[in-house]
Amino acid sequence: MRTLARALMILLVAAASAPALAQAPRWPEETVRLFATLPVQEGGRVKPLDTLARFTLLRLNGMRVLKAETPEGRLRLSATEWLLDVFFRPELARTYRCFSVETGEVVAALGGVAHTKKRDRYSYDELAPHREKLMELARTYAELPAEKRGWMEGQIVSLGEAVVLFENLAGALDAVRRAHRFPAGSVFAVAFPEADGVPLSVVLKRMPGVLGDMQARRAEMSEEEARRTATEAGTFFDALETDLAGAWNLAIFPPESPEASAWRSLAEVAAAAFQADGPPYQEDPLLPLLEKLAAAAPASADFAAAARAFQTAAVTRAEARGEYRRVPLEHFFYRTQFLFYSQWLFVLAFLAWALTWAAPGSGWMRRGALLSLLPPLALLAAGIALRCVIRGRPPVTTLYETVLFTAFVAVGTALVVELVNRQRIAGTLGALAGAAGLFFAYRYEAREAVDTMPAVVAVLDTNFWLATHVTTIVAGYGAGLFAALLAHVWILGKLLRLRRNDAAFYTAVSRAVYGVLCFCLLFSVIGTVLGGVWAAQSWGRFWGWDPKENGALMIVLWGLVLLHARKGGHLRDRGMAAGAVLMGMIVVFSWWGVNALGVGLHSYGFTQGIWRNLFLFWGAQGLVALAALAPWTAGPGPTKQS
Amino acid sequence: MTLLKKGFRFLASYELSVVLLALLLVVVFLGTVEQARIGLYAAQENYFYSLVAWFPQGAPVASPLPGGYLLSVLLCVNLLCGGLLAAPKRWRRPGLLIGHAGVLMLMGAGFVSFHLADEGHVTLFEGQSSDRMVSYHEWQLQVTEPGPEGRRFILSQDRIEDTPPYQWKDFTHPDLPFTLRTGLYLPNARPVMESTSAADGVALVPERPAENRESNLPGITLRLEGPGASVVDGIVWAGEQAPWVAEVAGKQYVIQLARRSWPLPFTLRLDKFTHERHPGTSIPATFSSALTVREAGAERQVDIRMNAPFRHRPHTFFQASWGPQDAREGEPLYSVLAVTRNPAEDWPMHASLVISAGLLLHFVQALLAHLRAEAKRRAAP
Repeated sequence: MRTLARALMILLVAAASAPALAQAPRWPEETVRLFATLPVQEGGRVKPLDTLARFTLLRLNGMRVLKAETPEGRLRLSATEWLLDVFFRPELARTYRCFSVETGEVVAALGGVAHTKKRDRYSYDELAPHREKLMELARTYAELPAEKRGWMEGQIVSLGEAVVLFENLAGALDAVRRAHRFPAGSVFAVAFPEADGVPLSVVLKRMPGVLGDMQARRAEMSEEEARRTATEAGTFFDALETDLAGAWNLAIFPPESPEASAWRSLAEVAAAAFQADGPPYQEDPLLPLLEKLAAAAPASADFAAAARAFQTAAVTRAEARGEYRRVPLEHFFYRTQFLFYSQWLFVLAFLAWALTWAAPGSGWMRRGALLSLLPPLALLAAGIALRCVIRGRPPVTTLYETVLFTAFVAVGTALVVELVNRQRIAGTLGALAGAAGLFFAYRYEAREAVDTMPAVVAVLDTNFWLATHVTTIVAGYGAGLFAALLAHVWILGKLLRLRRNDAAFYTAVSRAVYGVLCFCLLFSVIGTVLGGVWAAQSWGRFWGWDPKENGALMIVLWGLVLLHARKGGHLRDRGMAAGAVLMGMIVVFSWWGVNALGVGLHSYGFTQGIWRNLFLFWGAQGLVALAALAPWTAGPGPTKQS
Repeated sequence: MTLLKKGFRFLASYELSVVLLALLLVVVFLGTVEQARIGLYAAQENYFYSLVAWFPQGAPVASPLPGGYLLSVLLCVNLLCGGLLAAPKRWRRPGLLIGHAGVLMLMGAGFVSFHLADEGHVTLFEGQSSDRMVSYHEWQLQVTEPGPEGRRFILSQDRIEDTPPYQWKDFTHPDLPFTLRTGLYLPNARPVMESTSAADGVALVPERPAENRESNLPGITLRLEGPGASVVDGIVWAGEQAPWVAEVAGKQYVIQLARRSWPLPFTLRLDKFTHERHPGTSIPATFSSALTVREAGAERQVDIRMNAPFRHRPHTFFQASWGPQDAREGEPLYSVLAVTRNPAEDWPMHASLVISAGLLLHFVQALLAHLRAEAKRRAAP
């Protein structure tokens, strides 16, 4: 216990000291805030630029912040600060070690020099000399079917994608950063006499007319003049295309027309000027503002003013479209870190419960520990509720949210059980489940590194069924896993001969296991039949033997096996404990295993690369369930229940 | 104790419940993981709709297991005997009885749907109309008389699919001048050239059933025996571009395998199909079909979307899919509406309510009883 407490204290101290690493940001705070709340459309929804920055950095770096070597020394950059550097100081961002590479062998395979540390971060400048080789290998391996792609090949594909992602972001504003120059002898020199270069907005306004005129004069031109005109026009378009190469994905221009739903990127804004069959080109007022921003010296007062002007104009337009309302709330949600603090408060609550075991008779310590569960639970609830408001959806629509909700249900169940039986077991396990659940959510988010609030697919576009079927099923998962956790106490306690003479302790644990299993069964049955009714609404049949449906049915069937066997007198405490551990294994199969099968109608939940972890879990749990069969765990023989 | 009583006691026993539920769990688990290898259809047929399931399916050495259908029937019997008839009738604690009744109702709905429901689709391009639903995977053998007014004679798949190899099954109709003899029906087949074949040197060879049941192309060997001992041999294959035209007694008959279809009591016209993606992505946001229903001379507009079907008892129409998936902007699209005709369509909903009410009542009563007992225990000196 002392060792555990010490380890937890070290973790807490490390967490508490983390903010001390932070240095004053190089970008003015106001500028960072303006960009963090700049609306951008990505993945089918409008979100703060900060969200895009966080998940992009997570994808590249494996962390939501970047510890970067800068001219000002070693800095801890927030995701938005990092993205500001990528946009406006790409030459500096290229030097940041933001590419997390699992093994130096990947870099060596490209012909580069691997760092001495096996798993390390590399800068773009380090990878750039080997870019061609990287892209060649990544393209080859990406064409392999996923099951034939080895781990190393997967790493190369992933690094290739990360490099392209970085290049696109670093080049997203190239077109407004570089002025177009038409030398004195050029066929375009008359139309563009500006000696110090022509900004993109001016080019887009004038060039279509200039090209139209040239087209009209084609008959009057000599062959030589026509050839030269065509060549120079080609050169212009090549240069424009190169400048816009990275600008296609960053949709920061809200459409002025209320009917249009797709926001435009800089490249789309530019392409609109040259659409032969499109409407006449009209300049987007945001474009000159963006040019001013790109022209200002980074982090200067001019930059701050230009950033304010651009952000205000973009926000005003997004607000007029009704698409900005939830952007500041989402920024607040991520900035406030509800889930991070909830996780660490669960760790503290666990410590509080651990202390109650040192003084079993103390009522006030138990009450204190009970109260310690409330703040993290409230923070978790607030986090879930905020996500509901931001998305306009019920609590669970993605796999990530199932983790949060399962943790919430497990802790809630623990609280209720603790209030009923006052044994301190449920409270302790509840704190542990909360901390572990949120840690798992954190790791899952980092592993997937994609927006956890994506647009929902058409078949899920029904808040009624999401609110009823999905939450009920996930509540069943939470209860099933908590029953398994409680059963561990029974089995491991018996196995290690803890509290050997305290029969009341084991009876209380056993009753709690039974009660929570009933809760699991109740919610699983209701959730499963509600799922069937939803399927009948969407697909025309109540039951289709889809893997996800079968997973839920398996939880129900195992719950029924346990309760009927107990009622029939064939299972008592030991059997129920082993059965509850098996229930945990079935819940994990239903929750994650069927997703990994990659077949069925629930394709929006498919997950890859988790079989190893699943088998490790099932193997460990199988051993625990087998441990229940050890002779010295036996209690009194089975008897018929009254 | 009489044998009857013993039998009833066995059928009502917890032991039987536990064994059946555990076996069903195993079968559901195997059928689920096997879907990744053999596909949904084969897994359904082997594990869930069978009396005996074989694991691994299709392997040279496989273990027999009770199939899902058999287990479901036995569970129903067990539930009826143990969960309702023999269960103690404690009217103050009726939750379990209600829950068991609900489960029985749900399983009843499953049996009725399994045996009596029809599933199909109506596929329409914009502007097209139809008054028939077409099966996804059931076939029928059609013999059509020549001419625009020619009658159609139909043999359903279940009547022609069970002929043993090297044998014929005979069908006659007073209005047809020949006996139609059907030979071996192959659920998925491919035609090959075979000089010894009497059917113009073409024979059918069996193919492995497709993972996707809809992709199967069945074939059948036929013989038409007309007046004067005239014999015409032929094969009919579902993948043929043109049907087989056989001449008997000087008249031509068009013979083909077609997907089974049923008439609808009204006509559906697709006015407009809309599909939207979330902006800037390929994530589908919504599909919807605007239709006109013409029935008994009257017309009305309906809109079918994901999660919003159109019900016209006993039929229900769902937005299933659309195509062509690679269509360019402005090219015509078709909408696929899944259709079910299920006499037990609403039963699962009602059963769900009964089960939920029963379980909620039971567990809440049990929890309250437990809390009372705990309070009494604590209050005791």
